[in-house]
Amino acid sequence: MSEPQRDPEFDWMRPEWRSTRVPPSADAAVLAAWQRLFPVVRPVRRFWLPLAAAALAASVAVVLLQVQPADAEYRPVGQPHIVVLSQGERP
Amino acid sequence: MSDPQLLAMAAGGDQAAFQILYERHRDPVYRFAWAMTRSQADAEEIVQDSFLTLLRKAPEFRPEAASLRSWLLGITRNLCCRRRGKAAAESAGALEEASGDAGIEAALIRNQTAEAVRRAVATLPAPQREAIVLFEFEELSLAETAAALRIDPNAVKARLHRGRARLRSVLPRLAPQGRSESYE
Repeated sequence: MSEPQRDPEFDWMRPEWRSTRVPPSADAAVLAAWQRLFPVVRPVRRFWLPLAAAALAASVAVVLLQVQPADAEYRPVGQPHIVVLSQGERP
Repeated sequence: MSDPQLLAMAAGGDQAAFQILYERHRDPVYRFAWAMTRSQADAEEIVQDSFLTLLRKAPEFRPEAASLRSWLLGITRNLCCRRRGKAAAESAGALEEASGDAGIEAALIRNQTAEAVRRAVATLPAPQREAIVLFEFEELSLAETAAALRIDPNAVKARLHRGRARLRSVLPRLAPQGRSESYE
């Protein structure tokens, strides 16, 4: 089947026809419709990561608290006692 | 990036892909919707509905059967037909008033050639109008026009023939200064 040619008499009308463009209000409506169709997903990781970090910090703190009382029982020996063994009196 | 690739990405939720696709096709869709409904407000709503339908029906798109633009314009046409049916039931008079010869003359007097062209196109019966708009003004091929209108290419040719003859009858009044002699 032969492809019909476009009518040259309409050539000057084409740019006039194409000067009509979508108004900005339609662009905004389409974008809003898109966002209703694909709602923005909440950033779950941003919420859970600080929570996980806080839980880890709390665990470390609990472990440290358990260790410290045991350390507190430790008494340094201090200066060594010098025990002088008597050799007895000389005659 | 090709239209089918962009459509697949957009249907998966890629907003950037949707934006590119929308900007590529929005104006022809809007102009076609405007030509068929003769209402700016209706055309704006149809643009929105056309692109949402495009996303919903993305899995049905077959690139080997039709270009994305002709498929999208086919969706637009269906939406226009539904709305036109509703509008015709509500008030047929308002549509006719907007497309009369007086409107064309008034636009020419105001030196608004684009407006006069739109009004002249609006005087065509719907079947001729959709064929003229898609083939002559939006420069779709015969096969693409037939696919968008879901009719046989020979039927498109017949509509083009009648539509051109009718549009030619208003051309002498529409043609810019200095060209009108060649149409008389």
